[in-house]
Amino acid sequence: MLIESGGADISLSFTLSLSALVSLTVSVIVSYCFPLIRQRRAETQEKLTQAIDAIRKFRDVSCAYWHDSSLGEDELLNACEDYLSEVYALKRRYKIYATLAGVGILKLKRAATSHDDFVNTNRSPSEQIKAEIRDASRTLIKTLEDRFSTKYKG
Amino acid sequence: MMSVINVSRDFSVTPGGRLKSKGPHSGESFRGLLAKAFQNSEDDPVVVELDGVRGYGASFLEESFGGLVRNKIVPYDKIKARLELKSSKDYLKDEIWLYIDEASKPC
Repeated sequence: MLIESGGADISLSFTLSLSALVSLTVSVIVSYCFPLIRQRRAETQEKLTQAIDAIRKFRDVSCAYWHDSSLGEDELLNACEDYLSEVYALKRRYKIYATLAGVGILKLKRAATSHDDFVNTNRSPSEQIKAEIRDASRTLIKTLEDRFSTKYKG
Repeated sequence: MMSVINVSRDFSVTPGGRLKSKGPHSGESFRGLLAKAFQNSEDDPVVVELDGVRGYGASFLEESFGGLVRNKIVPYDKIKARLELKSSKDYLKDEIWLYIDEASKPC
């Protein structure tokens, strides 16, 4: 009888300890992990927005360059450095972007600057090159956004 | 002896364009400088310092570095073993290696 009562006490105390542990774990998750995830999400979103803005700026400057042959390439090259810096910063800092392939990131730069007439002051405006630039920027932005929404659903 | 090419000092601060016919500081011209460095330094490293210029277009980089392999001026394995790129921008080094790798693949 005594043994049975002792066993029940041990079992009760074990149950209480377990529920305390569960409650502590839940409290840690709610008060520490969730805010951390939210903070990480906001931080990633901010950097993602910066990268997308830089990509759009490069798209616009490059389309202007291939529309108007009197424009020089300085602004385009600066915008190119900016978009590459931003996207590579994402790749370095966030695990979801770590596996982004360089070839995909550079496709946009190549669409704008790999042509024989790049830097040629006698170049002709080109609708085809502008279409390639828009296409490459759309693809890159979509890739970045898809990775973000897959990781942070809702 | 190791060869060091500083693009801004030894070539131009405004490199650009693919072919000599399209501009004065083209990838084709720079490729000549690279080729000479590879020939002169036997099996020693060829160091290319990339910082200090206004920026690089893909046409310039592809023609100068990719063109070394594509035109069979320097074999791919020699470039892999001897070329050392120095830049504060990782993406620039990635880009150049991409063009070298692509040029080594059969069409």
